[in-house]
Amino acid sequence: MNEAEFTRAIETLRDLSRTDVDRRAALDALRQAEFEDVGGTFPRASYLAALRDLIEDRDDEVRRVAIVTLAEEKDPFMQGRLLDGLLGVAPAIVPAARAIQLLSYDSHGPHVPSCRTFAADPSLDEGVRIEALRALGGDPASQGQLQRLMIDRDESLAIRSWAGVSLRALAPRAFARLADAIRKDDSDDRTLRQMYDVAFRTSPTLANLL
Amino acid sequence: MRLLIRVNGSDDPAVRYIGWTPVPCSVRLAVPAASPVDVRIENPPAAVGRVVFRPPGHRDWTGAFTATLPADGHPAEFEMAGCPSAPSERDGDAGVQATPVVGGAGPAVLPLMVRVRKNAERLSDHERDLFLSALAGINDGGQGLFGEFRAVHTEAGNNEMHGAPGFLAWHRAFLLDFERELQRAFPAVALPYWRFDAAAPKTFSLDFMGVHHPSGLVQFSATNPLFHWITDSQGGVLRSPILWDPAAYPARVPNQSETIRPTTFAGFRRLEGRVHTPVHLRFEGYMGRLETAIRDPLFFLLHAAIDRLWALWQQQRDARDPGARHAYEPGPHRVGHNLPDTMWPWNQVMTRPRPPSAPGGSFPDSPVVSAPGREPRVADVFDYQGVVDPAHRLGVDYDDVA
Repeated sequence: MNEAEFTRAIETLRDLSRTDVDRRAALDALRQAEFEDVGGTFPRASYLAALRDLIEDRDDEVRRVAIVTLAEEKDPFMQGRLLDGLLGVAPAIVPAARAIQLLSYDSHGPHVPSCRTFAADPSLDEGVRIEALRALGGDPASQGQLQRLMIDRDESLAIRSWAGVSLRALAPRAFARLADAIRKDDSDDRTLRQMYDVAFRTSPTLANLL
Repeated sequence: MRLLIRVNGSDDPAVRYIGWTPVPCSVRLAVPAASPVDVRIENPPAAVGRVVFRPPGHRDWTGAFTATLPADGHPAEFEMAGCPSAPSERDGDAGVQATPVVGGAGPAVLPLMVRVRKNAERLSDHERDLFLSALAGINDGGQGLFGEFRAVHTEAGNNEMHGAPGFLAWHRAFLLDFERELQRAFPAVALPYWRFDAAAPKTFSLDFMGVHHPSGLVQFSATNPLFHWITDSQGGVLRSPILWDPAAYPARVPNQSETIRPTTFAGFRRLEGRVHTPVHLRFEGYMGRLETAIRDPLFFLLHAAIDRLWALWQQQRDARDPGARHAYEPGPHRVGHNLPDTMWPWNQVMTRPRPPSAPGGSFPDSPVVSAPGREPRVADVFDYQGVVDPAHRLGVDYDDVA
């Protein structure tokens, strides 16, 4: 696409008088051009500005792409909207688990402190807690919490295993010790024990961390 | 009577991996005898992977022949290649067996592997699990060598890898680099490819590349090593096919015959925008963005499929010689995309117009072949089967591109 075609596509995307089919076609063309962008010719700033105006678009697909693309770009405007919705400061534009997942494209994003709270709260939806746990894999302040959740038999298998995954990302040695203890404990969950057997069997380094 | 069998010019077990390209093989007497000895050269009876032989001076390949070993212990030389209808499933499940024709001595057997890249849908459970273990090993919970590959395939390196004629060559090198690293720990592994123009129920299953879920987070079985796939400090893989189920339907892109129909490289390489990018964009999540695509291990299966299409096109158009006019696109192109250009990051050049860093170092060696060298040029990856020059062989083959 050349500059004029980029401009036309962005205009079409913004133009609510056009059909959804036309607007989706323009969006598809822009997504492809952005993916293939070489030499910096893609008008990224104009594209992202258009997407910011479309996060509450009438068309599901346009809205979805706008939100996801901006989140992947770690766009501060989008991060603010997602976080405000997550914290109840403003109406949520996506469900909570989805908001955390999208915010987590930025592993040091503004949502991380809240995720510590969400992960610890057993009254929350499990999907929210899982995404919160995923977000903590780069958060040194969460090591203790991840360790506790990984071994807490009152927690579900999903919460325990995702706590383990994030702990492994954050503190491999601490993970290795806990995972080794779990896999050797006949009284612990069989699926979890199998999972950690596989983790040890396929890692060139875990056993050396014990 | 002891017989010594040698493959690829070495006694090192690490070289006993072959594909469709002929490799040298020899048999000799360990201890000189009074007279020459006839031996039957063939596949071991229980071989799964099978090989064919070509004695000196013969044009045709055969499944068995009789070689006469010189009495003084000099080797009888011949060529050997994998049999395209019967690649290996396990390390050592193929071999060369040499049995004295007279005298009743037992056979000598040299185990080896006919190692080729296969359709992911047709992998045995063992092959699939080995591949997943190798992936998990190189990722190593986010602490492994995978981080270097992740650092290469980003927007910073985009000019080196996309949007110009070198797209195919660069990705062929990148896959080979990755595969060689997998093979360091798991020599029997070869990258599988995903035929995205067909339904792929085995590939998109809990025990392989995972199943998409409304949450966006791919579901794996508890015993799938990818359960602990970690990139950028985050566990899991985000992948949601958009209005599509790749387990049940092909991607809506031009099919194989349409893709390889162009007669010129300039025409063929349009598959980057017509096939490759649309398949990436059929997913929301990591695959759908250049910056994050490699965070999804499916990336390698997709790109192996693209590389296979190039291999098919090269075979059909006799385009494995980069010097042939139709094999590439006349330049000049931007740096990194001309045949004599070295490819980043393996050339370790970090000055403009190249990217400011070159993660991963130079290109890894292989115990099996010497190509493409530490700093491969675009031209160095065309003749991957060594058809033009056996020294160019990369040690890679596809199951259905013999």
